[in-house]
Amino acid sequence: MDRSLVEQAQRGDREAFTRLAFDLSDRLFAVAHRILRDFDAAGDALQVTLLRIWQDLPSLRDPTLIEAWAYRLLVRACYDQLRKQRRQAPALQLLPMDGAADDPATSFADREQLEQAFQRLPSEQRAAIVLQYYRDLTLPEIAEILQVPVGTVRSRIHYAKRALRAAIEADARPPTRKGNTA
Amino acid sequence: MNREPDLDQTLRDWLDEGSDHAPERFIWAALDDVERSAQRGAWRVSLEERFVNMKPAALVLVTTAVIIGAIATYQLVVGPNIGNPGPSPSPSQAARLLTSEDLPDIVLTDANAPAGFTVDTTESGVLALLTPFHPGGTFIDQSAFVDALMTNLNSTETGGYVSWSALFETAVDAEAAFDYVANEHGPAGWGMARSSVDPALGDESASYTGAAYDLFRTNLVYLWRVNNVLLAAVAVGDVSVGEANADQLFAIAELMDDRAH
Repeated sequence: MDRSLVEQAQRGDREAFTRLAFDLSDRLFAVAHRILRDFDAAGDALQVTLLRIWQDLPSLRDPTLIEAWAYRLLVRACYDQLRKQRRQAPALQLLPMDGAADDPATSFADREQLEQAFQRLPSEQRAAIVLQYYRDLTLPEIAEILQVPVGTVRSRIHYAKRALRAAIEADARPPTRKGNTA
Repeated sequence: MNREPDLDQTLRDWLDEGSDHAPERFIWAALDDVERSAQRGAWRVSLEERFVNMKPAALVLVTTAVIIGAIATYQLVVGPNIGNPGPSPSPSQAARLLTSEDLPDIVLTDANAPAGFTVDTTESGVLALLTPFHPGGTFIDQSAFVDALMTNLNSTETGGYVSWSALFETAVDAEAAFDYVANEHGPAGWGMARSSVDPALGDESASYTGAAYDLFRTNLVYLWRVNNVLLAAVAVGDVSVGEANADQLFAIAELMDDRAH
């Protein structure tokens, strides 16, 4: 990230901020989309985050940390979106992601189970999983973004993976036959 | 069979699916908002930087001036009160003001949790203070905030306990903070239901049930104040199925209350 661009935007230069927003948006949107599993909600989270970045940019002490800081604001915006979603639609829906059907690496059944199990995870666990497995960030980096101790990140990922694994394994188990005598 | 590497790879593959491109309409909509919006906080940053960059001697002078000013203001407002016994202090005023050093003795920690409780995580400072507040709300006044300590206990996927404390400079500051935190749990915040029965903990107390903290649908909260410290004992998860037992929670609250006294 161009440090001078951040510094110009910090001083109120809207042109510089526009360039900064376009530089950041793809990465922010991709993370929001994966946490929220909803295209429009991810767009809303991105919009809120960009505005918040602009408003609070003067308070960012180290311009080189812009990306980590932006993720922190994005994750908060995602938490707000999830809260709204849960209020509006208590029954979670299965949301197809672009290109999902073309990827042979993950079986359809696994994807379906992952999708459902992921949507049942608390928002904090979703964020930790996406930052680790999609952004490939280290635990300390995730802790910095989520503003929690490393141990908390570790436990969130542990609980999230346990739930996801249980969902996949439940699907892999042969169905129990009822009323079937040998 | 070890499924761990499989799950890691499955997660990576699954998360790699999906859009990596932000639609421009969202970016332009945000930039429209930016156009109508001013930056904030620059003055605050400038003030903070002045303090950070200040030489130690200058910082001592400024701090001394602030303390002298505070004493002078107190003398003006309260008066010298010479030759007059004045009103008797309330029990709360008479009690010793608690300090940051007291918090680890009040909150359930690794060192003092009763048998059967395991501390999973510990948070302190502003992070612990802000934990119970819903995002998007107004900010609590932190001018008199001193420190906070919070632990999560016996956490599982479906529940657990929280032992929480937040220390303020004076009992009056803590009273204001109590109102704020109580409000955060009510209709203006998480929307939990306040019990009509006062749990009778500390100098003032309240209890709440319902969904909160973006975690579980069922939570039970005891919130109370002892002099200048706010305390909370929280059960998150389904308290009716034994993941976090309501009686056990009240026992935690009473233990914390005893320790604070």
